[in-house]
Amino acid sequence: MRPSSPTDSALEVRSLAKRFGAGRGVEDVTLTVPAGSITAFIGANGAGKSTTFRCVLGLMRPDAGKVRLFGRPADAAARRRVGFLPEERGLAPNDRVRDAIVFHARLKGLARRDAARRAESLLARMGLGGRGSERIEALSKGNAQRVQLICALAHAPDLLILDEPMSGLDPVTQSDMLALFAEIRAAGGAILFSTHSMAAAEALCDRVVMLSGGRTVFEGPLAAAAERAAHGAVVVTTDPRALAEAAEGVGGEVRPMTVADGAGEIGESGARRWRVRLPAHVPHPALLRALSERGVPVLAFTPIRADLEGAFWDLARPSAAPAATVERAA
Amino acid sequence: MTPPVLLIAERELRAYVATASFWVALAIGPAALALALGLAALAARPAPPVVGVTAPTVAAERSAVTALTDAARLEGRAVRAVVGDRSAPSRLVVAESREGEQVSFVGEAPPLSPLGRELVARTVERDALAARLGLPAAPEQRSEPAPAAPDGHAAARFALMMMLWLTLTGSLGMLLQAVVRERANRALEGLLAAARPADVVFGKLVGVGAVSLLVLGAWLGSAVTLATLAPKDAGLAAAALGDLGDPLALARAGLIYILAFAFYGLLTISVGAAARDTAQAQNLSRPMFAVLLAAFFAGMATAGGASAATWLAIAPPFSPFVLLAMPPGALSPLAQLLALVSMGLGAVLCAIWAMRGLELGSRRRPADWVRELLAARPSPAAH
Repeated sequence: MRPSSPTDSALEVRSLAKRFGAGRGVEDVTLTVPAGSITAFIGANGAGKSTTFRCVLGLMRPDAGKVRLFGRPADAAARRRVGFLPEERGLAPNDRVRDAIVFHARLKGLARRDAARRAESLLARMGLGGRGSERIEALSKGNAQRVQLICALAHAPDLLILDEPMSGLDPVTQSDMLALFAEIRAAGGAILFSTHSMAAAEALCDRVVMLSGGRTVFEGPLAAAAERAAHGAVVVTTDPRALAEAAEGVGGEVRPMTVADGAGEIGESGARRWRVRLPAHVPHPALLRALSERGVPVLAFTPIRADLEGAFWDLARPSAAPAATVERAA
Repeated sequence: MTPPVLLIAERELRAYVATASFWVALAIGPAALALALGLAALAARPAPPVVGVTAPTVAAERSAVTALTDAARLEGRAVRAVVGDRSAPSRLVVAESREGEQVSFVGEAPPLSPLGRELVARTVERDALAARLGLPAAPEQRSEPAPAAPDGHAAARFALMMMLWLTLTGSLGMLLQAVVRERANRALEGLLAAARPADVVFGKLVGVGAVSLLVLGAWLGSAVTLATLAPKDAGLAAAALGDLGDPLALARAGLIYILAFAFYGLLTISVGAAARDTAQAQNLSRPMFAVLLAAFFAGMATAGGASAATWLAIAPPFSPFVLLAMPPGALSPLAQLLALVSMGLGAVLCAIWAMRGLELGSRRRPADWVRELLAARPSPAAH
């Protein structure tokens, strides 16, 4: 069963809140996943992605907000049309591959024979044909994850919710999964997946929902997210004061980089990396010109184009200023 | 469509049946019972030969029986004297005559030496003479009291209680593992995305219960079979096994078992749902297992029908053991009914606790419970 038209929503979440104390949980999450689309759910660790998923799936009772699936209240019947891949893979290690898939499919309402047929078909599709009799514990991490995904897909759900589906997978398996997701979208299915891989999100998704501090800070098409991202450059210099003056001269600003981003002294010159953020209308050459005019000693200049990663840096990273309002693009 | 609760139960059952330890548990009970019965049969003394005794008076009968058993004892033998048994192969006949009582042995020779037979005859004559003269019976005439028949009822009740305790301790450990393992490796999350907490709770309960039932069935089945095969003189073990074959007693025990398993099983799932990992689950479950042990000893202590047993019987943790241990007539039907109802209510409370515990991130404080009850509003997600 598919939603009646591609414009229908497979999932609607409005003003969802779930608090655990000590500031954890989600405060105000709003998102829509249209049918026949793939939506990336992006946010830093602890932003509230998994909590949102759990509330949508009925694993947690939200404190406030509304969840609708396929245009109706999120009841047990509607949730039966949802497939879920949890972040921490939790198949019973002693189960045989085929048994695990059939069990999950039957839990979602498939008859035993249909479930077995579907299991064989998906195992073959995911390159695991002939391994149905093996125990889960005998599989590699990547293959176990494929089996987990098959379990989520086994009942042909109309909405697939995937919590970090790419984590820990090799590039080949990632590519296989992306191809499978594209097939599901082409067949009219909807996918909501959380990821820290901006490349995967850009390669696959139609829409983006960004979460920061338990709130939705952006929701809209992928292109609109990239447009909202400030661009800039990573500059290596020994004179940060002059760099800041040059950046401010063209309307930009200098931000320190974290250790994870490559902060720290480079060589013995005392040079450091700095991230320069530029307004959307200021091109990179304008910054280069300003640096040159002020005689800033530039050891390296790496442009940062306006993309999803830039948008994430601006909107969703934990140190970003809390958004007063949600940015929504049509 | 198969209900999720049955699918989860089937999965649990299959998971345990696939292990070697299950088959060991299945076989160990019947093997132990057969061994116990065999040892009891070997240890049992052969039945003493029967000697029928007939005499003209009750006093003469008593004198003959005592003389016969005493003579046999003096010769280091055993004999069973049955008054009035004229069909016994060996008979002792006392007849009145002008000279006094005449003792004769008819049929097969009794298990006595000629001297022993002479002793019996003279003793009977002497007693008859003493009675005629109005003298008291000779003080040296003593007969050992007959050994008490083995109390098969008490032994059967103890066996049922023991089996319940063994079944519970074994299956509760399995249940705890089933919940904690899935909670720790997050398999529970995937399961709860497809099934309600009630399905998970009762699926696990039924699945592990079926495993226990198979083991218990094998044990009881073998007990009933052995009861029919057991020789009648195999002592206490045979008497107990014979009592276990009573269908009514088994049906009553079955009902108690089901309620006991539901109560303790749901309590265990609650404990498992409240724990984050195996270590925490073990710590949390320790008091429960201590109560289980205390309940077993309480059952043993009340087996004689102590008055405090009535109160213990309606305390759910103690109810099953007290009900199984006490003689059926020691508790009034109302008290027994109350005990069963209290176990049922206890199980319902534990079920609610277990289902709440499986809701992720819903560690409610007592204040939250009160607030929820007062507000009594449905989940916002359901709108």
